Amino acid sequence: MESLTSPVKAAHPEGTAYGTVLDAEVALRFSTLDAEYEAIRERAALLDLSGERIIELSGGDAVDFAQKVLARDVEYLTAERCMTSLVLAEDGTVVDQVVVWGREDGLLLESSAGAGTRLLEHLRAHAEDGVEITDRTEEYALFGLEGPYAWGVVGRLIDGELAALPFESVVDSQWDGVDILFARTGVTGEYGYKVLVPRESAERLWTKALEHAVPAGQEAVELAMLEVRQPVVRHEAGEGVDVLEMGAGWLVDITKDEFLGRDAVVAAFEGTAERRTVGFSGGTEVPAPGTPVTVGGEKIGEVVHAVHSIGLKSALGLLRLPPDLAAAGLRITVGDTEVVTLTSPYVTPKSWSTPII
Amino acid sequence: MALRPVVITGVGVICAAGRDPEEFWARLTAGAGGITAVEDERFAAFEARFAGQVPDEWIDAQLPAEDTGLDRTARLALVAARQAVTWAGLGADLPGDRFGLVLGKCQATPTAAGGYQPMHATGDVVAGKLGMTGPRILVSTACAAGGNAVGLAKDKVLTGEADVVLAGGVDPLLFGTYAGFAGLHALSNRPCGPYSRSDGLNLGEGAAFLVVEALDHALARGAEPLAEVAGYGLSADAYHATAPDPTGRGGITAMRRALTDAGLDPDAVDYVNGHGTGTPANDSMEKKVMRAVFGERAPQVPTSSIKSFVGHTLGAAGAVEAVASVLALRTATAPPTIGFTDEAIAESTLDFVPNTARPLPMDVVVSNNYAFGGNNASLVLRRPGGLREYDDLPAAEVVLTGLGPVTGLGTGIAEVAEAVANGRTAVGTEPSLEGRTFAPRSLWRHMNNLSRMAIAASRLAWEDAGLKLPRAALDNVGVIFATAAGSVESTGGFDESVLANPNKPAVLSFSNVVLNATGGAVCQTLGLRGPTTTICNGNASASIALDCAVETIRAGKADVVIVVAADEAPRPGDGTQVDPYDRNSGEAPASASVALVVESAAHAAARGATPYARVLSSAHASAGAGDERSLVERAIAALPTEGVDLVVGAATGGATDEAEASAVLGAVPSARLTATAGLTGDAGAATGALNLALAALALRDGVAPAITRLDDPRAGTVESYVTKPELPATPAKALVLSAAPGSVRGGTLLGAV
Repeated sequence: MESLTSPVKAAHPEGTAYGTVLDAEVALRFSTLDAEYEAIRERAALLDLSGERIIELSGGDAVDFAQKVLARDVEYLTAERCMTSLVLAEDGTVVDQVVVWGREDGLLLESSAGAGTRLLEHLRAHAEDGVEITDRTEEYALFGLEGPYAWGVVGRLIDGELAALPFESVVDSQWDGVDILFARTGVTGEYGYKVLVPRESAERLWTKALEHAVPAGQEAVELAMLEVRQPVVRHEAGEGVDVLEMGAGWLVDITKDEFLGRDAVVAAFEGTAERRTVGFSGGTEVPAPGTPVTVGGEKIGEVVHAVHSIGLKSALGLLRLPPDLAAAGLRITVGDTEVVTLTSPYVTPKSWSTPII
Repeated sequence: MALRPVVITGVGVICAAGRDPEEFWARLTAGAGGITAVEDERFAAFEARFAGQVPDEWIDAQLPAEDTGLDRTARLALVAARQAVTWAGLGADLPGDRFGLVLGKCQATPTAAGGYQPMHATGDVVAGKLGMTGPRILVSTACAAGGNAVGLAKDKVLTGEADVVLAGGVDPLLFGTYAGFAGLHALSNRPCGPYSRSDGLNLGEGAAFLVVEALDHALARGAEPLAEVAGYGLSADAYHATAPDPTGRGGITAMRRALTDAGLDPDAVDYVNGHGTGTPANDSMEKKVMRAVFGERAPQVPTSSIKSFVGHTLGAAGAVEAVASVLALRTATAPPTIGFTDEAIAESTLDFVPNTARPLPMDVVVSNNYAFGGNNASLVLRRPGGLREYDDLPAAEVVLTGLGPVTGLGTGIAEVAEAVANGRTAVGTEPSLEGRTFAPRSLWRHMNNLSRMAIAASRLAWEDAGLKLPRAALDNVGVIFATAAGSVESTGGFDESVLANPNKPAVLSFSNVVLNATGGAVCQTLGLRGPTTTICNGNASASIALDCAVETIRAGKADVVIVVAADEAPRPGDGTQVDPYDRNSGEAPASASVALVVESAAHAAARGATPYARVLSSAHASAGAGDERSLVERAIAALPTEGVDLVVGAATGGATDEAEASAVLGAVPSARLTATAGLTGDAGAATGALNLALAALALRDGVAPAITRLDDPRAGTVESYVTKPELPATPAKALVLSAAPGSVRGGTLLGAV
């Protein structure tokens, strides 16, 4: 399968820095990380989500199949709701984290950036009669808006009535005479929206949206996600790590009778976890994954993933520690640096105190 | 199509802003608010202490001595009801059976001695005192009930069931409700400021009534029409138990439906009497409704909230505001919204008629109400026109296409049909909902038992009907909820929490104390946003709800309506068996929910559905001077019962079974009588719906609920009853009876397809 590239690449600002995330080429930065981060946290940022695959499940048994492959319950997901769920392998390891869009005749699965090919292969490997799995990525473009004033952009760009939709609502709407699918979502703790637009109109919408919002690349988005402890699977799902150790228990529903990976998740819930994930900040050096975590010289765990947080003006990351030490407010050592463990969110989003007018 | 013009010919009101319409209007137009600090010491528990209270002397000075011992709810209602009847000039020449009552009420209210009374009790008192024996409906769509009542009253005039209907609402200020709102942080610490400060509401109390009758009837008796009830619209948010849908979608739909019903464009609207509670969620949602419905004209449509004068009178609010709207039309004056500062006036984006009443010639007024449970009601009133040609309400054929029983006997019609056929009984057994969730788990987890049963019943009925509708069609599917008492679990849990500590009320239970909460949960879970209301007339609720569903379909407001009835046993079953109509029978309460899919025959045929039964006709009679038997006889007499071979009665095993049996055996001697309470026990409104469902099943399958242990019937001989499930022949016509003894008795005729 070909690597994904953005259908609106030609309309990206000059000097955009690209990188490869799994099977996709994505815009890492359109301008500078600082400017893009500032747009997400203070104003409104425009996201090009072309690195995510859009996979349609249709046919009479689409919902049953989705119930099998998704770790959360989508039996009553209507055409006006969406939700986030993990997709697990039989052994409980994470295949991907997806947004599930309810549709009248099936569902759409939106992969995480670059993980679409792996997701598609997993789905096809478990395919059954009665369900059609269709990669619709080439037919659409997916854009996001995030920021404390993203609602204002929705008003100016599409329709003010859509801005105050309840979280995880989906609406079939129109933009400039084109059918679009619109959702209230959000991954950075700020007001968030997504627009799925037919590919032929993608560049027009992108260009128009640029008049109202600052484009933000993958780096700024993932930083802002980490700051509110929104999981980015490819950074967090290490080998042999189960969903509880990841801290992603909220993305599975073990009260559901059956789904792929359920036995492993149930075993994890019933067992004694050896590790838990907790956030930390401190120092200016960003430690590499695997950097040892010590207390009094004794190794107690390691770094999962870390970045430089613009919001905190220091390194910010996740640690895997023994469960009794995975608590907030502990002073420990990462590499050679003193850090402190944190409760999430690590940065308080401005949207929490910004009403939609 | 122009239907018979229906007008308002009299109004009455008592609330914090005045003891009668004259005083009320004088204070409104003078900008003099009526919200004061609560004197009652018990309320010292709360930080917020302002409310719209009615002084006792205002009430008692207007009541004859014989009425002063009645409970406060009844006294408030009687004052306003008598004012309206007097204004309208209704005399003794109006036959009682042509005079109906639709009462809106949000709260279950106490008797004079304390302790809850049935929801419909206040209506019975008013109807009894005023000699009304026509249609009698208790509508409980929380804070939208009063406006809803005026709409239903219009329907009763259009169907011809009544010549005059008194419509209104009442609610007193109750400590528990106050604690609940305080717990939701919904109360303002001072007199509320709707559309300006929007920092919370004040509760209020009061009653208001409007006399609704056909224009031709009013003119013929020399009455002066004050306003025409041009149309009304109901909708469901299908969003949340207490918060309004922030997009305003439900409110927008209700207003658009009301304008469509009235045959008017938004451009025709001169003034809007808003819901304007003063909470931030309501006020910001309402502004969106205004902008969406009126577009660029929104800032030019004066909109005011009289809750700034009287507080939120809950079930009375819609009626109080309808009275204000009538007076606004009549005096060409828009009442103001008080509480605006100069700064707030400068910042207003819409015209809220701040602080000062405004002369405003108007032809069309819209009154809006939005409620817990996501129920919305809009009422369109206009200046009355002259006599004109009109069309009769179209006679649409209506069928039952889906049955969803959730009873101790079984869950789903297949299980229940099997139990009926084998003569099994499960009196007082709790229904089982194990093995399947009927709603998204995130919602199911937080639901009370009543909502779970009702959602399960609705979904099972929906599946039984084989309905598969696209999203746009779901927006027009109606839901009529029927319950005698609402959630026993939530009411009990909430009351206990308030008793323990009024500052720590169980807020989740509070949102489920309103009677329509369960109907709202059904709408939310199934994503249904059509016309919705809640009927609370005891065990007669389901048959009255079915009438509303049929009227909704006849009026072209929906093709599919779910009638869902649910009630809970106040105590667990103790093994008592029920043998309806037997002198030695016991009575046993039960929990159950039963849903019916009611559909226009044309819609059912178009999608290839096979209905269980046709709904042929129905009639309800309300208690007057006569005894219980004569009440049953009056209900049956209004129906074409020739050819009826099965009667499913409302018997529950008690003494009133005799009245029903004697009346049926006398009026429909050819039929055999049975009742479902012997199978499940008395499940309140759900028993009424189970009677309808199992009668429909009998018409299709020839199998009926049997009273297998009948030895000593209270009337007639054993041969007059169904004693084994297998009927000698599949019936062609069944009569289903319903009863809120001492209040309302009804009959619904079902026919084989």
